Amino acid sequence: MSSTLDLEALFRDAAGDVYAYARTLLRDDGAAEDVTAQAFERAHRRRQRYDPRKGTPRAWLFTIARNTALDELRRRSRTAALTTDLPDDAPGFEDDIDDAVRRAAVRAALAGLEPREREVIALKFHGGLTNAELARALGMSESNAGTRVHRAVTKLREACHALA
Amino acid sequence: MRLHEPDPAVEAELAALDAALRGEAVEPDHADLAALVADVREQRPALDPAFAARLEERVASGFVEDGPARERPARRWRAWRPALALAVVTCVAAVVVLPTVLVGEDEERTVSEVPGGVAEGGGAEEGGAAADPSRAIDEEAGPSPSDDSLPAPGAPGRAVERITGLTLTGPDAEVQTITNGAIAVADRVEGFVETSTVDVGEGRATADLTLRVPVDRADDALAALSRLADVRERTQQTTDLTESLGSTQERLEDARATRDGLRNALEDADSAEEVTDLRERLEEARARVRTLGGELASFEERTSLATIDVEVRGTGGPPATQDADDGAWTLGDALDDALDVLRVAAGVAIVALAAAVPLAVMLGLAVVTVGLARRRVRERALDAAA
Repeated sequence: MSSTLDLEALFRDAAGDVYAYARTLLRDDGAAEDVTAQAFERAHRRRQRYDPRKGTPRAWLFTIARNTALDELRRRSRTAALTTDLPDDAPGFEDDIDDAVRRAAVRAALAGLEPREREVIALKFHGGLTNAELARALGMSESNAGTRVHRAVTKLREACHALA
Repeated sequence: MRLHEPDPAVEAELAALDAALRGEAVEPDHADLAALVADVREQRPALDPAFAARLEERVASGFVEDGPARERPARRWRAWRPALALAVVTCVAAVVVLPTVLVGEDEERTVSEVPGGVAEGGGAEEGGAAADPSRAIDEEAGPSPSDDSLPAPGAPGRAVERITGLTLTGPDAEVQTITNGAIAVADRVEGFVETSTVDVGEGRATADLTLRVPVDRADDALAALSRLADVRERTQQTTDLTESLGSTQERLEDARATRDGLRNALEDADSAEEVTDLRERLEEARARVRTLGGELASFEERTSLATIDVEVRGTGGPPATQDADDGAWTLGDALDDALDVLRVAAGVAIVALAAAVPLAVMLGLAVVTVGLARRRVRERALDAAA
């Protein structure tokens, strides 16, 4: 089973996605890097347990990454409140003002989502997971995962329109 | 049948979203969705190249710089898991099996210590040697062979005396055991041993017993005795004592009437000579009443208790038991031992399995419960971050 898992290839394919997901969920660069590193380390330790019949390597990796991120979230919730991440993104001279406004609206809309919704958006948009992979990572049925995605996207779209 | 049919519009939007995420063109109706994908992806946090390079090195090296220290305990634990599982199962099996084995040994010892207990390794079934008396007693409740039956315990109004002679044979070394078994049979049917003689010595082994048992249990006793050893001879004698008993009763009644009459006459006697004469006759009448009373009691005892004369004769041969073992370990012994070992091993395996299955189920439930609890805690962290 594990012979089909090439962790290095998986890293090259998904490391950026895992980081983007963790960063979007945790809204902290350092924590996101820690989670990314821990996720791959856990994947390395558990690579013998990977079963291709249960899902793709990407879905398996994101399940680990999600658990790691939630553990981090839990640890941080015991020590300090979650950092609100609205970094300064003032438009540069070269930026088109409309683009900058739109990006700010999207960022604000993302920040305004519930953590569960933001997580789904991160897994879908940054992780590039299919609904089946998403369902495995979240531990639910594929139809439920699709429903969640649709709700989160609808809410994000409405928030963007409202803020734009 | 599905309870909730998917909304076609939702399905279409999800399909368009997947297409946009794959970088494919979407229908004009979903252009805003494609724009949203582009906008969100534009916000995608990028992995720091330096960090990515360091992490890639660690991945390529298998996290050797910090892996061994963290992995070793887990690997050690995994390596010991089979041995640990075996140890647990063995301990459980030992806890469950040992008391049973010990109790079983105690019970065997107790049986062998009972007077007339089982002859060790008694091969009565094969060699016709002494059988297990306790078994004989247990089995005596079964139907007795019809040809073993004594005459019916008397039709109503009949008084019958029953005397049975039984000659049992067995190896010299088992004569004592057979004798003990016979005594146990008498006890079992609430009879008693009237006489017993055992003569066991160099070149001779005999025993003679007279058992008295209630007539209504005589058949059971005979059946049990016949199982103790080979029956070489059996004789039966029945004597109908009804008439004798009736005659004795009549004579006793007459004697009592005579005695009572003499007693009355004595009270009415007028002279000294008459009194002397009546007293002598009264004394004779009383003696006769006592004699006839004794005879009647004897008749009743003879008809209420059957007599079984048991002769046990040693045949001189060695017993067909392990007592005859000359100490040599034969191929048969080896097979017996091997079978014993297999039997015990199978027993231990079954008991271990019986103990391990519930443990495994409990362990599985515990693992599932812990997993669910851990997942719930993680999910709560997500809610708490809201």
